[in-house]
Amino acid sequence: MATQLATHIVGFQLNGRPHAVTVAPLTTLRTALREELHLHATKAGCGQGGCGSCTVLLDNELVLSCLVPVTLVDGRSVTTLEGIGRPGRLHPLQEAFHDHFAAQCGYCTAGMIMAAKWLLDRNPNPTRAQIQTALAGNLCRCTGYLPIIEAIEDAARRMSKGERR
Amino acid sequence: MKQLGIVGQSVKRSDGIGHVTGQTEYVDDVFYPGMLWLKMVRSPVSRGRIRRVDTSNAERLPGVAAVVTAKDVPNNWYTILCLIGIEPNDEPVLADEEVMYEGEPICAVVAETEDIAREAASLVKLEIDEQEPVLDVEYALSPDAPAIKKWGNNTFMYDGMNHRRLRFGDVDRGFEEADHIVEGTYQMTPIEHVPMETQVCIVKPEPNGRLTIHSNTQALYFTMDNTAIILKVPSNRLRLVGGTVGGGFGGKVDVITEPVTSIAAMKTGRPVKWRWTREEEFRRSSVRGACKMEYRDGVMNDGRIVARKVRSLHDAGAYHRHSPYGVQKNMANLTGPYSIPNVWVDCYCVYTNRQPSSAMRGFAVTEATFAVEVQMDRIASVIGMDPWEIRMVNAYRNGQMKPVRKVVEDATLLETLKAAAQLVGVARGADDMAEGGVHGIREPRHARDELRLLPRLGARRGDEQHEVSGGRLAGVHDVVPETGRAGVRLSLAVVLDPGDADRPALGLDHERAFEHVDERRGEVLLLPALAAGRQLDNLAGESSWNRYRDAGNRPGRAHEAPALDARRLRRLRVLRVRAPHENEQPDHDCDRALEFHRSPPPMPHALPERVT
Repeated sequence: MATQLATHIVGFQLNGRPHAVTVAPLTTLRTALREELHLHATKAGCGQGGCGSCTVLLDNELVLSCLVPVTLVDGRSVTTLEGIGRPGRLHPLQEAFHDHFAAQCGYCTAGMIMAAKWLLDRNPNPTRAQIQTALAGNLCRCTGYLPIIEAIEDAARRMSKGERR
Repeated sequence: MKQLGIVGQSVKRSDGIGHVTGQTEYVDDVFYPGMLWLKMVRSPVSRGRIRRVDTSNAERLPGVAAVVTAKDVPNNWYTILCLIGIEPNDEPVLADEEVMYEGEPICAVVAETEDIAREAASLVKLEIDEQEPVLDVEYALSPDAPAIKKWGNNTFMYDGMNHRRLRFGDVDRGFEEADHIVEGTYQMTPIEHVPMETQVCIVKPEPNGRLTIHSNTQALYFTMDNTAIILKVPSNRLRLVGGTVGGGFGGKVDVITEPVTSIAAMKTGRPVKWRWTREEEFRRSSVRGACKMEYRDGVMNDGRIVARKVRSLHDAGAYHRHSPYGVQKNMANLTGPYSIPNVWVDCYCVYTNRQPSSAMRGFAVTEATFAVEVQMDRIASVIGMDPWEIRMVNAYRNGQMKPVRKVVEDATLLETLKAAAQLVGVARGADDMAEGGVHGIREPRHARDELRLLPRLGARRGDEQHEVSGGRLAGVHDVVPETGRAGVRLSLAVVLDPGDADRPALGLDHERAFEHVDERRGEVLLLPALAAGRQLDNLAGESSWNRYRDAGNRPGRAHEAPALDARRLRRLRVLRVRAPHENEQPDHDCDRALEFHRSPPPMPHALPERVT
């Protein structure tokens, strides 16, 4: 393992733009994002698929990037938190998370927002139970979850009123 | 004045936009060119003596830059609360003679990549003679258990005793008078903080000789102080970069990653990152200690608790860390927000061969609160009283004296109970408190009666005599400061007055406490229960102390210790080694421990002046 060379070249769409990384075999998508491409919004919480901090969208499906070998991403499309909004041009989910105090330490926030985006992309008007189910793979230790759920409900209202996206 | 409008408003987090866009920079988001990676070699056994650590195979692996062992640590002691008198030094930064818990750090491997570091760590050969571990607090206290601590027993030593004592009133008389005796035992298992971000640290050597330390500590100044002490460098050599913490809850108060990473950076001259896996975070980081509290309460038919005796055991794990301090807080809170006239508490800070416990949200107060409130419900059930009412009957009122000799101020339990009762729709809580009483809350009559029986502010000199852990408080009114507040505001100290009826011996406003002592030749007793270092720094500042000493004052009975200088005083601030209470026999294992405290053994190896 230690002496393995970075021999695999992987190309994929990342937040709408083509990117390529040269990696060792079995490098995870999370490591490629954080340590090769230096997009740090996607967090490393457990490395075992247990916490949801590294949640991203792969071809618009929710995946845990710590469990996905980046070689499997070749030719596909990846969306991270950086791809859905930025300071000054926030996604309604980001606005709602900010307004509702849904991010405290902020370490789970990227995964939470990606899971919420996946839900609202499919179900613009989710019930509270559906929101809870969508967040079942994402842990938060600060908020007690309620502000996060309320933020997602509020974001759904904002988006259905025809705000951006 | 316009600015004050913010009070009562909901404001957004200043770092909120960074959080929701992923732009906030956490420590693990920092990368430097040429950065090395650190992995720790940890003890595979719970207790044992280290015979040999063979790092040669690890050092030969291509890509390994350095191996850091105990010999590389300039001052190989980690005692985070050494500045407030937790002693003796006990926990090595890297183990060199013995290991005290499974997972204890032994040596660190630094390599070009994290994978190489992990593989090199697996190549370090450890030869350890395993010893019988002590894994249970009751067993640790029993005569059969091996003494795992150098001072000959398995507890932290408070004032020369193997437990922290609180004595208030006469519990035996209280139990005799009581209509009911209600007992309960309450236990909590260890709890891990599980911050979403594990421990991470990066240290970068700078050309000007300083170290830039990126830390996710909750306590930057703790980190700076303790890292400087361990590295034996002035703290101005350290530049701490912190403030962004991906969840802490007390789990990032201890200074665990920064010293070793700093030594690795100094040894290699390159930036080094050490980040913990989730498994390390769970199994190797400190936890909230397991706790066992045995309650025995004397209760009257009208609900008043007239006596309480508690034995509290706290599993500190292998080393001090914050546990001795947490146990003091536990001791001070085992009566909860309730007035109990007769209290007897024995709190044991017990060492076992488990991962060290330390700070977590409220230290050991959370455990005490859990026990207190379940016990209140149990008492209510036994005597057939409404659980709301029994809390109102016993709730603190302003002016009452707590067992830790702090006068109650700004008591709000009755108001809180009333609001809570209304919120959860309990009719009797709201209706029964409709008129009169404190802030419109009617107090049950027997509670008011009891209030008159308890010592309170304004009592005449000599009306009440209270023992304070070996000293004697010369009249309750002496804690009434001239400002009307200082004794309580500090929560830390009362001035003992040796006599003289004319002037109140008070004025605990930092410097002024000592001015007053100067005049009166009185004594200063620092109430250990509530001591928190920073305020005491002011109170026991050297200038004040020197003035006290220069004025020809000698320490009186409460001090006992000879040659009390400023350094000594600082050490004494919280935990003074003092003769046991005159009326109680010392515990069997105290003599050895006291001897150890008086003459600790030399350091296990010669210390290099600095790491190059």
